[in-house]
Amino acid sequence: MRIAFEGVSFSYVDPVCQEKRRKKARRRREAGVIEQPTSLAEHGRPAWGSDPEGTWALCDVTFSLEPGEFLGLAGHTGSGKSTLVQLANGLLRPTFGTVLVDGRDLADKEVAAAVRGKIGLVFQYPENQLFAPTVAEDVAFGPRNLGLPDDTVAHRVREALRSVHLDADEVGERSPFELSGGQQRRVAFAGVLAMEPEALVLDEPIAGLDPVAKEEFLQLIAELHSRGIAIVMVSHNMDDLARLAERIVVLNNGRVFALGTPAEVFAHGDELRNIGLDVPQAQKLACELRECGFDLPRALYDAATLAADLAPQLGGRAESALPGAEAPAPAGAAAGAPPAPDASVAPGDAAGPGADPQEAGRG
Amino acid sequence: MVDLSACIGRYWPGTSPVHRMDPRAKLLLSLAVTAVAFVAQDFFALAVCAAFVAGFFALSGIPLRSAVRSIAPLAFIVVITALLNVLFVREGAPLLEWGPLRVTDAGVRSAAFIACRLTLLLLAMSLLTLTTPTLDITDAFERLLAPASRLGVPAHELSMMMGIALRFLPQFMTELQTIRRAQVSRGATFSNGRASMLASLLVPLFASAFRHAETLSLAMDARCYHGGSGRTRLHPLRFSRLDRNGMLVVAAMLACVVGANVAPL
Repeated sequence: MRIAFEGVSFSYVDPVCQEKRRKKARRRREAGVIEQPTSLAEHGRPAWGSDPEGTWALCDVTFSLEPGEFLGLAGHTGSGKSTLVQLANGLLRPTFGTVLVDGRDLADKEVAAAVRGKIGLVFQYPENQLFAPTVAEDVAFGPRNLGLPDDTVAHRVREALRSVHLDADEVGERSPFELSGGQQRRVAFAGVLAMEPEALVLDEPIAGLDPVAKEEFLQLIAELHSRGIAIVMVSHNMDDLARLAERIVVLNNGRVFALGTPAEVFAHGDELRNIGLDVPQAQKLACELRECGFDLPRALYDAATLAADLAPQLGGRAESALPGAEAPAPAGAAAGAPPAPDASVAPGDAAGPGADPQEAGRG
Repeated sequence: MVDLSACIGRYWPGTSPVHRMDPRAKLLLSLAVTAVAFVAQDFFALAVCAAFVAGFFALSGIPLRSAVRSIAPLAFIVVITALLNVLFVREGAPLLEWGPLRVTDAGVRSAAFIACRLTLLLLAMSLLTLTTPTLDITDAFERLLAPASRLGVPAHELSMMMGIALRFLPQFMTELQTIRRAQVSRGATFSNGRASMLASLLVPLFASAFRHAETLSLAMDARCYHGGSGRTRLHPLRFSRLDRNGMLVVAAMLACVVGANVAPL
């Protein structure tokens, strides 16, 4: 399943109103009262920006989700993430541009209906959409709507509950409202998985969960991805995106701000901070240390790689230990450094106070 | 989605004398104006009435177009009432007869009269909602009911309920929209109106309403809310010269309309 956004713009302004406004403008243009904008003559349809009164939730968004890919989606609040998510399975139709699923236009209602089972959309706080008297019935809602026979539905419910690590025999007959918040979210998740989607679109799936539940949930998502399901995950947590996503789209005010691998995207920390986002913690620390003179060549760091690269420079025990005195780190940098493995061994002490980062760190 | 707030006339911010009047005075006066519209017994009196209402709108600085638009959703009431009058008034000379249906000149006349009167009523009420924020209206409602609270009418609670209901209407519309989208993306179709499909919308909506109610009551508790008794106000309502003038104008309106009623045409 390949979902391609081609020059998609979307406005929440009432399309009927916009159409009326456009018609009026067209009449006036034909009467020669106002001049024809050049872009209209070239492309035969209003180009982005030709409607100064429209407010755009998304404008000119182009990217694609390849089969089996894990795409991260980041952006500040109100940057258009949720709009994009709803465009991806045809709930909203783009004002301009097209969303293609395997080459078919989602604006076509039949295509959208046919594709809906294939693209599972999990909204924010999906547990708020539970409604059935029992967990099993709630999970069965999707497959039933697909018109599947009863035994297939039962099988799918069991499978879906198993893939979210819930036991169908244990919780299946209970009311979803009796379960804990984390379990409710799993049930809601299972409700989407029971439709056996080829692509999953997750709108902030871990918002409001405790750290343990968060970790379990991310693992669950990674598991689903390893089964070959393409995943789009909206998240504010850059660490999670850096760890899980293969590519990341960053939205800013409805436009694609950056698109690329985590290493490419997080290489521009300052620009990301300017639009209200951040880079992963380890990467942030690596950038600061680099400015202080440490030699950190990798494009993207996580905790393990950062530790591995730092340890030799700090004179700790590492595979290729360098003499600590050679680390050209000014004293001030060490305050932010994580404790290097085995900090007591410090050959750099000989270099005098201030020259060794750990010395300063202890003081 | 239908925008409910548009049906009752959305607040149109301004600083006109009408805006600055005390909401209590405005609430009473708009009721008085509707009463005056009922006092008018012929077209001449109605015209006088309309002239006054037009004057109020001019004073409030609200463009006529948005005033008309604010009552447009209720226009069907006017149309239906007028149609009933056309069809069921039997007196007068027949203009058209078709089977049991008989349209008389008196019928057309009374239909036109009632349509005009209803339009005036709606305009007078929409002037209130156009120039007064809903919070002020509920406030005025509470203060006007205050004397009744001695008789055991829970005035404060009633207006608090009204205010909260108005506050949460748009919230629930948004939530219903989200729930609908979530269920549609699970393959639900709502065009055939099957009960199970409706349950998939309403159960989550009710659950969310209860959740909101619990959170809201906790939040009110946390801020020491204990009902209306002994509660003071940040912006106490005060009658001013504006309100007195308003009352004088409406009294003048009543006098003119009564005069127009008795005046021989």
